[in-house]
Amino acid sequence: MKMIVCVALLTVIVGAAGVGTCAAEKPVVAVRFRVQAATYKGHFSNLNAVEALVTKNLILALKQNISFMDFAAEGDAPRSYLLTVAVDVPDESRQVATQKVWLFSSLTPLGGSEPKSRWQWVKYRDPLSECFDTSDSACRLPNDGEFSDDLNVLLAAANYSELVKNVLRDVPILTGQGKLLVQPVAGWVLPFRPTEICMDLQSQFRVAGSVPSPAATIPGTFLAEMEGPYKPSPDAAVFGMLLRGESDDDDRVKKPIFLQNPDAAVVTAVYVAQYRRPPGSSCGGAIPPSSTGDGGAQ
Amino acid sequence: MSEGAAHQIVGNAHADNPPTTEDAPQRDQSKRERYHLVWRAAAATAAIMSAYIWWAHNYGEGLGGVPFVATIAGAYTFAMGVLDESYKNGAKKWFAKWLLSLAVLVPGCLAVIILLGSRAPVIVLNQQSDSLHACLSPAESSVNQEKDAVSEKDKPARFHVWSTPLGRPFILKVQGYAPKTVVVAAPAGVTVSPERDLIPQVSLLVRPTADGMSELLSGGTLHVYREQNGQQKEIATDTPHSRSSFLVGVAPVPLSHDLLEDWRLELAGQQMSYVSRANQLLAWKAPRLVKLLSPSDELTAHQKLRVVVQTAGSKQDLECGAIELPEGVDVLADLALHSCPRNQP
Repeated sequence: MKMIVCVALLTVIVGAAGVGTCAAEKPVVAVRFRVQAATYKGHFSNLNAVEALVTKNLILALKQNISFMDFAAEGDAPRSYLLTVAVDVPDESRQVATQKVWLFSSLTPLGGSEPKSRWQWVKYRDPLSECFDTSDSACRLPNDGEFSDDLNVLLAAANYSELVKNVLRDVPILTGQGKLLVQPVAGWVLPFRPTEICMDLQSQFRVAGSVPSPAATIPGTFLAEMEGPYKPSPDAAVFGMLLRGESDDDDRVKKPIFLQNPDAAVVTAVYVAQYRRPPGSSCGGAIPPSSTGDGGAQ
Repeated sequence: MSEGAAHQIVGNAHADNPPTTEDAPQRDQSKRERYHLVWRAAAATAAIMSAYIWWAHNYGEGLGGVPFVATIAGAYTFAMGVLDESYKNGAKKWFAKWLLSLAVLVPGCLAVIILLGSRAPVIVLNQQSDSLHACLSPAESSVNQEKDAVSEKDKPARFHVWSTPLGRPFILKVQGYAPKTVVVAAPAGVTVSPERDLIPQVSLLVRPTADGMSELLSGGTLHVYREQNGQQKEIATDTPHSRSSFLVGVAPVPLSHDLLEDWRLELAGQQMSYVSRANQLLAWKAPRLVKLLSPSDELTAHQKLRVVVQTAGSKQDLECGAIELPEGVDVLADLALHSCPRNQP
């Protein structure tokens, strides 16, 4: 209901005054953490508790580092995209101890049962069989508490821009919202406050839209770069300047059609193609570090 | 005292008791008696010493140890102190006469000679903390004359057998080791240190994979079961906190070069880095000795064994292996573990 009202309001406001101040709801991504490396799986005394604890810490880390989406545990967000982060090795047919262990991430689309191909996000351990000093804790399999602590450290230093670029890029942050403007520069007004999505000016959106015509509806996908608020106001919606079409066809053929029919152009979905977080910023959606301190060893 | 004074004393003595011709035979007889007494005393001392050495060699502690000897010596001293001077001399003379009489000395020496020439010990030492079961039987006799004994670290097993100075063959079987024929000659006998003198009968070398060794380094446990009549009995276990192979048996055995070459070829077929391969070979080359849980247990041919590496936390079976021990002596059965089959969900 809120979204419908918001879209209507945005259409009216943008159409009339060219300024949007309404904030859209963030998409919710369900998150789960799994231990899939065989030797790690059997090593822990309470695997379910470990996975639940790391999932909780992972959600906090994601919320702290990615503001344009919301994250919840798998059971708390049933109808949503599912982000799976798993501890595993690249080749499951080989022995775990002879390979590097990674945090793999993958995304299961809405209504899908199988995740898309997984992506190596963060390296967790070098091959255990290459260790020489067996008294070193890094040469041993961790216990439940050590494992959770290790992952907390890794998650705090992980590269979330790469996670967005490689995995979360398929989660739409907007569906059916946004307005194409042609003057003074071509781009889209997107109903998010800059402080809500917390992106710097190098971030890029991927905007999928369509233009209805008597013959057929013409779809197109374009890249837009974050330009900040549409007008100098803290409540103003952000503006993404059109860069180019995603494909050659989009760029050469469809871009002119969209620009000639800005009022007929409909935004189907908006994705984040490249994410940069402003350095040292305190965005509205960020979680203060003190609230994430309840993780760790049990 | 001057020389002149000495002559004077001797001269005075002779003047008081002039020597007579009747005293000469008595003096010769007394001299002979003293001469025989010295030899008898020497023979008695030799017999007692021989008996003591024989006892100590056969039974390990001499005449019951120091307290027994001290009690005898104390009783003798007390008796001498209580007796009057005259009785004391008489008792000493009687004791010396009785002990050194031919009636006692000859049988005593004969008994010692017979003992030395006919009884011999077989001593089985044990340098391990676990007790060791040993069994001795005559090699040339078809009659079952087995003797059993248990050897502890501070109390070796001792068998006392009839033998001759030329020796007599016996078969010694120590638990976990192959039987060995020993020639036991009196009075020396035979002293056996199993780790040094005997050959382990069958040893089992267990080689976990890199995953198994990582788990064992991290608190995992090795379990060895024996399958018998459809049931499994745990016969050995170890939580090593180290990365190594395991030698299940009674004593360390050397690994042959051929075995190492086989392992090298085995690893060459696996996808792993040179460092991993080298570490695995090094770990396998230095097996950790795992003793059987029961001292009376031993590995023998045709036993069916199952080995499992269990995870530290959830106690799941991570790696498994099974083997039937082969026949032979000084056999090293090589068992490579592999991932346990997983139950389908």
